[in-house]
Amino acid sequence: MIALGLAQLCLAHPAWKERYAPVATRAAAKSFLPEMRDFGTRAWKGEDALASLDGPHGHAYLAYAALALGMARVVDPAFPRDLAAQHDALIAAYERRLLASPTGLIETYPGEAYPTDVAAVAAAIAVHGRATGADHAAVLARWAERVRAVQIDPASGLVVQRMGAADGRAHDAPRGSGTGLAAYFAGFADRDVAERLATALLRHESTLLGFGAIREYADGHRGGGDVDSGPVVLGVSVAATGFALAPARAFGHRDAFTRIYRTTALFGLPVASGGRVRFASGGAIGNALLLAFLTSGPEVAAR
Amino acid sequence: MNAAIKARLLRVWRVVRWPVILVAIYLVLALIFAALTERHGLVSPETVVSPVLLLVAVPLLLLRLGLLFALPAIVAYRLVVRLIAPRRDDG
Repeated sequence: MIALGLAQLCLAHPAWKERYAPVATRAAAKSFLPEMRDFGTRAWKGEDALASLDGPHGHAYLAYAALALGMARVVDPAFPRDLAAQHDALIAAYERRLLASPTGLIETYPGEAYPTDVAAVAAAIAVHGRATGADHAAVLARWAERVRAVQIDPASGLVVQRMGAADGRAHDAPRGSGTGLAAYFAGFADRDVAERLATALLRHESTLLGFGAIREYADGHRGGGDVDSGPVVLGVSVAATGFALAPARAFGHRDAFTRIYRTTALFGLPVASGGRVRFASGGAIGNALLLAFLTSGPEVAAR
Repeated sequence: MNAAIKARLLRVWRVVRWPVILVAIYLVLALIFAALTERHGLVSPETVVSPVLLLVAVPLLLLRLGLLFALPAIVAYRLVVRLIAPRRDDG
């Protein structure tokens, strides 16, 4: 997410490219190291994502690193060639798997697909096209059509958090955290899908005294917090609220952005020192996420 | 310092002592919290939050909410009361 945030900054402020593009490349390359995908390799019983590119398994979790590499490639003219070749091969595998899927879903873990991760796959494919000039229009159009037809809950407009990759059956509820992150990723791949998700997400905003937060579960669904949502307090989740900053900013929902940012600042406890600001509650991961979301904008959205 | 000034300062201190003490505690807790969260946050997607972090974070967040929302209201109330209440020496 640091690579994404820095690359977004470079796109918004080209004068900063020289300073931040190499850092974005280093961060993206780090996210691509084998030890960073250990959890996925273990889940697939020792099958490494990059060693099984010809195989049928989705390994969609690696799309986050693939997207980071793509964005670094967009902004860094000195992007390493060997890394670019690995990136090309991974994107080709994702494209083939996505085109072969009847649901527009590919697995993250055995038997389990996350529409949010698949949105990251679509984003990685789209950004690869932007970096290399490759034409990925067919796969992106198919993904967008499948998202609208299969992955969005018609009642709430939120994406289902977990689904069966082969049959498209819901394994979880439509949720705000998944939708918020999917809306951010969809911004790279298909503006209509991203806007649709952003609108649904912001319909799930609860407000009080000028502060805003996003409800985790769609109406008619209940549940607690988990690794995706973080703590869920009074029905609103930390993750969904933080994730909503990106689509609110990218699609110009100024009032919603302001309310949600107030909440982020209230509980995030910003600490300023040496010309830098970090959110003390967020830790390293939370701050990396917020860097990406707070720099997200129409300049990275698919046109 | 004569007795009149001392008494006057004491009266002012009585009015502001709790807000000042609470702000001081808040600032100390905020500094400790900032040092504890260099790498691991309170609400980032990590499974275990350290008890020490929670011990600092809970009072810090409660104080933050109190100082931002309750304190201005209480201070405003006390100021208004002081302004409109008849002085003791008015007879």
